[in-house]
Amino acid sequence: MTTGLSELALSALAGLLGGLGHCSGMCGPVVAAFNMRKEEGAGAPLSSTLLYNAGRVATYTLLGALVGGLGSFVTVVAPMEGAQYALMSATGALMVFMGLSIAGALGRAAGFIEKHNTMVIGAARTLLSSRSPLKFLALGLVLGFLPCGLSYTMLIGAAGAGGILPGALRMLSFGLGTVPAMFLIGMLAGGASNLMRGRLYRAGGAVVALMGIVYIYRGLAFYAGL
Amino acid sequence: MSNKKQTSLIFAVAFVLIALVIVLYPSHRSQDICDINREGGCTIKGITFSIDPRPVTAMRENVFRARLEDPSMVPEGTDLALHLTMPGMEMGINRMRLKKIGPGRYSGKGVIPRCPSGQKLWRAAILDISARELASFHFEVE
Repeated sequence: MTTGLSELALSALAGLLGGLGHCSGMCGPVVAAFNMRKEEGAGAPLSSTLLYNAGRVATYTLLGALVGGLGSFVTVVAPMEGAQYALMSATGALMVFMGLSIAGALGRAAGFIEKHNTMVIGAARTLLSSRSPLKFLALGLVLGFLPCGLSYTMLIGAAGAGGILPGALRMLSFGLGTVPAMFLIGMLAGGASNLMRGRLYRAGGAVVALMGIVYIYRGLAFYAGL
Repeated sequence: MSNKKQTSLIFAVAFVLIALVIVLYPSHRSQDICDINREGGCTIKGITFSIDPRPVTAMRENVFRARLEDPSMVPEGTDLALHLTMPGMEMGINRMRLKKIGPGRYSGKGVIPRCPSGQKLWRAAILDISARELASFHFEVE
C-alpha cells in the first residue's frame, strides 16, 4: 500500500471529522482544563493551544513512523497500552488537581495533598507552577500518548502504509486534521473562562475535576478488566 | 449560603449531570448482536463471518473470515472488503481486504482497536468490489 495524496487527504479528513465527533468528547476536557486556568505567565490561549497541539501532532507522527517502519501496529502499540492507561489515570489526577484549583477548593485539599505527596501530585504541582509556555508543548508531547480509539484506527492504517515516512506522513495528516477541533475547544474554554465569574467559573472547575475522576476510572478499568 | 456550601452544591449538581450523561449515553445495542466467539461464527444473509483466534480480543492480530453460501453473490475472481466501525463512537473506519482463498471463501488479517471509553460493540460490514454492502454483523469484543 502506498501513501499518495489521496491517502493523506483521507487521513486529514478522518482527523477533521473525528476531531469534531470523537476528540472533542475524549480529549476535549483535558484541553479545556489547561485553557481554563487563569494564571500569569502561562502564555495567551492562542500560543498555549498551538504549542499543545504541536506536541500532540509530533507524538502522533513519531508513532506513525514507528508503526510504518515496523509494518505492525500490534508490535508497537500493544506493549505500551498498559503505560498509556496509567498515563490516562495520571492525567485524570492532574485534571482533578486543576479542577479543584479552578473551583477554589484546593485550599481545603491542601492538607490531603501535603499528607499524600505522591509522585503524580508532585509532578502536577511542578507542572502547573511552571511559567514557561513550553510546558504546553511538553504536555502535548506526553498526552499524545493517551489511549485513543480513533488514533489506534489511524495507526493501524499507518502500519500498512509501507515505511517510516509514509507512516509518519499519514499520522501527521491525521494529527493536523484534529487540530481545528482541539483548537476551537481550547479557545472557547480560554475565552469562556475569562468571561465567567464567580460561581460559574468554579462550576467549570468542578466539571473538570469530575471529568478527571472519569479519566482515573477509565485508566483503572483497563487494569481491572472492566 | 456559605462558600463551602456553595462549592459543595456546585460539585453535587455537576456530578449528577455527568452521571446522567454516562448513564443515558446511547449504547446502540441491537437485539441481533452475534456471539462472535461461537464455533462457526455468525451467519446473516447467506454469509458466515468468523474471527480467529477465539475468544476474540482487541489489540492483537486476528484473522477475519467470510464464507458465502452462494459464491456467485460476488463477481468471479474478486476480493471482499471488511469495514470495522463502532456504533455510537467515532473510531474511524478500520478497513481490510478479505482475499479469496477458495470458492466462496475469503480471509484477511487485521486488528480490532480497544476503545478507552469501555465500549465493546463493533459493526463489521462486508462489501464487494463495488463497495456494495453484502451483510453486516454486530458483535462484542473484550
